[in-house]
Amino acid sequence: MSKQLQINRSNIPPHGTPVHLVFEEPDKEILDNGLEVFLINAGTENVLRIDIVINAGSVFQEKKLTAASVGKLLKEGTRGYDSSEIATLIDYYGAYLDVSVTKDTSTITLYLLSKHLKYLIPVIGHMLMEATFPEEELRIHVDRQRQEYLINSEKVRYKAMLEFNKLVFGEGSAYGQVLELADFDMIERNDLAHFYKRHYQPSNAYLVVSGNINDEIVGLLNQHIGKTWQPGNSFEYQVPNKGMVGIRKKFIEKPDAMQSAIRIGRPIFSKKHPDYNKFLLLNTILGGYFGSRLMSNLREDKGFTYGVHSFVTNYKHAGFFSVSTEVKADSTEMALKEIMFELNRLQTEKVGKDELSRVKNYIYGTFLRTFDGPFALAERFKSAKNMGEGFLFYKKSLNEILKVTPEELLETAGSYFSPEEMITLVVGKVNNS
Amino acid sequence: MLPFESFTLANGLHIIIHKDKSTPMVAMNIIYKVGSRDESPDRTGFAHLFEHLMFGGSVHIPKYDEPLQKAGGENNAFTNNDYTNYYLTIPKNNIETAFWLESDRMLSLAFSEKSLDVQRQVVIEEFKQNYLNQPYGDVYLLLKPMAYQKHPYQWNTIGKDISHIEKAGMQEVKSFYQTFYNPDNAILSVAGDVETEEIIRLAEKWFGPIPPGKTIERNYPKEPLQTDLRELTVERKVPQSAIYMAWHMPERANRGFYKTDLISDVLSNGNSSRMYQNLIKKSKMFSDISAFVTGDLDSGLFIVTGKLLNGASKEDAEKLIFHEIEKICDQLIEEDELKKVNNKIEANLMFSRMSILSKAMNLAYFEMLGSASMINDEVAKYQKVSREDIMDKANEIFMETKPSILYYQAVNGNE
Repeated sequence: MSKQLQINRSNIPPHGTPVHLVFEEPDKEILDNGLEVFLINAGTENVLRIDIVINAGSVFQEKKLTAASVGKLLKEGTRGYDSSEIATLIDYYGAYLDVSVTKDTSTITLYLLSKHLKYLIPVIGHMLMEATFPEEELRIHVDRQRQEYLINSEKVRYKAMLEFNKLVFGEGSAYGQVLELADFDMIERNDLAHFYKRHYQPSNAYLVVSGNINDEIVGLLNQHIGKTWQPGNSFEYQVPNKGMVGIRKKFIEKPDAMQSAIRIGRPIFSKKHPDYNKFLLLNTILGGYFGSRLMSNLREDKGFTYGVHSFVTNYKHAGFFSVSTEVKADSTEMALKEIMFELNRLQTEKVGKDELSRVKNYIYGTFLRTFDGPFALAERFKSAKNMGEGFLFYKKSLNEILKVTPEELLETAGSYFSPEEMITLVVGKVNNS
Repeated sequence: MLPFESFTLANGLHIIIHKDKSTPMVAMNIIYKVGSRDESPDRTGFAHLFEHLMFGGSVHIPKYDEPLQKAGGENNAFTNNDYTNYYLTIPKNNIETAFWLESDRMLSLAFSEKSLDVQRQVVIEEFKQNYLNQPYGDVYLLLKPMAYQKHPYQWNTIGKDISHIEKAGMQEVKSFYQTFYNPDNAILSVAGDVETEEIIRLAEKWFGPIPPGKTIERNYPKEPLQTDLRELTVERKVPQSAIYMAWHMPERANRGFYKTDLISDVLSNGNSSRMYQNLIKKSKMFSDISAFVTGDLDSGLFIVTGKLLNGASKEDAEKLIFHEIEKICDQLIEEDELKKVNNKIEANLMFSRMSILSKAMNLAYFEMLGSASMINDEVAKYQKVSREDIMDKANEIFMETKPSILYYQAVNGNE
């Protein structure tokens, strides 16, 4: 007992000296075809991650599903390797090959042990230059994707995500494209080949290598990608159509749903806007961490939901803000009211000193956390690079966030949270009769 | 080789330290050796509900999250059949805050009625969100009681039934805490840019004064060998029919676990695996196929799941799956196949060491299995497995016992 009395368990222990964000910008090399390669040397294990980022996201496609199908079929056949040969090679060396397609970019990512690069890089080169998109593979892919789409469509969360995207960017815009069942019957091999030829070009891409960097890497990349991947027909990068908001309220009834999915939000700016950092802080206070106002209110106080979050989603030329939750069906109305209440509170009451400093410290921790390990560094770097920035962007961003005052937050909330600007979507049970 | 140091306090708390100077963050992980297998059959879902209550305030600290956020930290937790795992990451200058927070909730909880009341509702919403309001969400609620008739693995971590959670009372909460949340039933690991002496000093200071609990009796009923085929067909409004097959397999610390794990890798790990190539690519009767092991501390399950395509029937699906199973029982796998799955194991192990948090988690996990040092023997244990071992094990599992088969029949529903 006496030992216990010597320590004070009621107060938080004093903090030590803060640690700072320090990192060097990656080394940059240029391959023979002009392709930029960024090298991030970090970590203790002998592993590598290679990201090839191509400006070939879904906003550039003329027909829905094209960009994603191209991405997924890169490993299903090239001149020189068929689908099962590629799979066997990747698996044999214990590597992981993934192609992710977002609105802005398509990214080929390869995780591998450093010692295996020389065996695996030739096939990556083939995927960039000589993908063949076999008809048979396309059919298998589309059949599987259609099933996945049908299953996802049963989930209120997924349905809400698609619908909200349509509401925020408007139908018919490049950013507002939403998948429908009929799209799976329209996609053809020619669409893929055309998109691939047009967008998969070295002048439209860059490369990031992270992990245990050695002297061989750049040479191998140059041999299998730099010397062989040649520019095709030149084309001009065009800023895709951002669209505009049409309808502001939408309720989709799902009579047997036990929970309703709610989305409330609006379009906002991209990351380079002067209000970006203030808005990021505001969003964190509202619903960006576990102790947020929405979580405290809807989950910890009222038990309406397992979770509620708010997000700032940024694309290269556009962005949106959204509150997202799934709530007990019969609490849908109440939950909508409480979300609007919290949005309003930020516009009318200054955020207290204690809460503000807690959230700033939390964000500071988050910045440190997202830079843990070489692969995380690669992730952060790509995100900055896609806006034409480097690691310095994060340092500046953090410094700005730490300086934001309660008055500035009030003003920011006033500019962006007004109820008439908000879009409301409910999928599930709506007791609005 | 993952280097670490380990210590045990006088009250029985095990501590593992791993140094990694490459990051300004520190990760702390605590395992309490209590999971859903420790629940009584009429109060299932309790270990998981309890995990929620651990965030509802402790004896000296009214809110767990606020001071952690103030110190730039972030945390979460999960519960499974065997254990409950709490973890956090925090800037290294604030590491003492982590010791302060975690030791206080090991010392005693606040046991607030409000917190119990709210968390019961939150967990019920979690139950609905993940198990009931999801296509295929109830699969394991159906499959586990088929496969286990005696052992507590028959219920899921979330619980058998919402009513069990609704009925959880404060007295039960307190007694559960007293039984399981004690230093001698816990493992603490720390990874990051830390000094061993400093971690020991902090552990002595904050955890040292917490008294140990009473010895926990663990007598889980042993599941008898399954010699009868168990089948169940359910109709659900889902877009695609699906099949789920489960065989019993060795416990995690048994040598047979490694053999069984490799069988699942040969069948379905990666796009070059047998089931992916033959069932998805060639037969086109599946859109998804997967074979995996549960890796539970007691005898677990070898599970094959598949979603059916192009009008394939239950019989077609079973025939194709059994064909792959029979092949592995009748013929040695190729040398290259064994090399391939072992290469994957080796690479995965390296990829799992890319962050301090996953290193801290893994070290605590292996300490629970027997000793943290086992983390460095894993690859060798897999490499010892021969092609003959795999064939023998396959025959033992697939030929000497029978599976439980759940067939999930899609029926049309009106939207």
